[in-house]
Amino acid sequence: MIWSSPYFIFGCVVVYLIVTILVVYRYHSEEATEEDYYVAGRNVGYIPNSFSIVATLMSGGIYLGTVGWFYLKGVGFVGYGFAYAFMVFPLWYIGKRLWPVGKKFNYVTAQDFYGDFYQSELLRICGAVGTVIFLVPYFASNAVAMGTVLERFAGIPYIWGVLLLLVIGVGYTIYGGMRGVIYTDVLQGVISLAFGVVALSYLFYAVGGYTKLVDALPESHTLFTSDAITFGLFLGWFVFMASHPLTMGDRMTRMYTIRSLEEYRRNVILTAVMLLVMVVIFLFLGLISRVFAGPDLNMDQAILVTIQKQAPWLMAWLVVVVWACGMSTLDSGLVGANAIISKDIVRGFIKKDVSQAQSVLIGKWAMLVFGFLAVWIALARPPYIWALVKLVVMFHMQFLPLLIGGLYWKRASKLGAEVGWVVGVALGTYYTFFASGPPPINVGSAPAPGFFGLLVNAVLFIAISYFASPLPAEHRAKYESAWNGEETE
Amino acid sequence: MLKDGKPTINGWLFIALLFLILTTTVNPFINYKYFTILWYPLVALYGLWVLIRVVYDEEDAS
Repeated sequence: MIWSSPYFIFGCVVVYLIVTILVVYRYHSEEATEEDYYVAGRNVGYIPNSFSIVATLMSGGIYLGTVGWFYLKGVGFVGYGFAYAFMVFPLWYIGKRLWPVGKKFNYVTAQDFYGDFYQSELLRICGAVGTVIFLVPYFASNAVAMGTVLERFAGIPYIWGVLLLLVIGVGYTIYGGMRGVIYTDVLQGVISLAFGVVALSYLFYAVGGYTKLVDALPESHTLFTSDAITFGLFLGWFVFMASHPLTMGDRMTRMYTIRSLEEYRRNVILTAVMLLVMVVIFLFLGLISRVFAGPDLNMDQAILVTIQKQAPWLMAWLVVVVWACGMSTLDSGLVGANAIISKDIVRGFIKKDVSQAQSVLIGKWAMLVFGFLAVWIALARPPYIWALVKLVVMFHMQFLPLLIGGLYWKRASKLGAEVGWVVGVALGTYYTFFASGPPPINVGSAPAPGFFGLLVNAVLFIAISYFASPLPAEHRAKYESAWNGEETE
Repeated sequence: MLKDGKPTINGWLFIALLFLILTTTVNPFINYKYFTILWYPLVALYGLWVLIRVVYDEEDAS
């Protein structure tokens, strides 16, 4: 048996795609309503919802890129992991208040909340348009990783790999809606985490155990250096990874899809456990790759070379994992973006009397258009695609102050939210494209262009809200009644 | 995690978690060859314990 045979690897990918299609056939949205199609009828249990959160966080390049970062930086990269250990706390506090208002007011997008709560059309339309524009390159970055590994290991031309993704990925997402997305996320999450556990167990044994691993690593990978660069790298990744799962339009919807607050408690804890396991897998796979693959590789190649040399029988599984991770991020983004198009943009500004069925239909057509746009970008492979991915995170993290402030601060004001958000996005865009700056900006490629934008945004939001008129009391009372459990449980 | 403007026990446990996380790169007590790699899983497990307390503590969850 030749485990690394292109035919075998492509066969495994095909089997994975067939199983995915069967899952969507079994679990898909059945009613042409926004609630059913975009938030799975708000009836998802904690296990599939947790897998959906984690699988969506695991993008197409995560096993190559994140393991590669640990390969490159060793313990200097643990800011990435600590971000998740921290992020689950706001995940709980935001979700427990967002879920009841989502249910009460039939919210299916993040902009539903920002626009309605702050009575701000600026936040609704700019947030919606920006989210849609920035998500498309993000989809494309996944397609690039998937097309590349299929070309390299299965011998399928890059263009055919990307088109296969378009046909299958966009096709099942259109058919299945959010329910299809969540249950394929379970499959994709299981495949990806199980690979990590198996690969780590095998390679850990192969390297000779913990002390032999540490002895074989250079000091740069096992000790911290207390300088600004190290702290900048730590802080940059910490802020980047902790903020965007809470605010990216497609991911926030998992706070709407859960069945009840009791289920959400379990959801948050199971998510925290899975994220801990995931980071431990990446940390040790990166360090083991440093030992087996040597120091001179491009970081994206580290895990590929290690698996090829030490465990070639896992290669087909790794290629399937890259596809599973890419598809789990792509499908979620597609549903999120289409909800924004049909509800926030079309119903909000173009045709207010659009019916639920028409709204879902518009979303399906939009999904097709986004799929083609992502493929077009993936085929062009622009060199600035990583900058665009940083931009999407920078853009979304600017919603964090007004999200937390809106849910927990009685003085939160429309003016503070709008000014803080606009200045934060402008500053973050500036640092993304035009400037270097003090740590954590551009430190060791830490993706932190939004860091100072977020800081200034939060300060402006708080300072302006202290002096501006707060939201009308009767308006806020409608939300507080939902938070107090009236009309929802 | 706050009650009457002051941190509860869970609040202090969370503050301790943040302190442990944010001082990671400058903490001399953990910077030992065989220990730094284990620092993340240990602190993350402590964080998980605090999270379970927070999520199921009715005082904080209300």
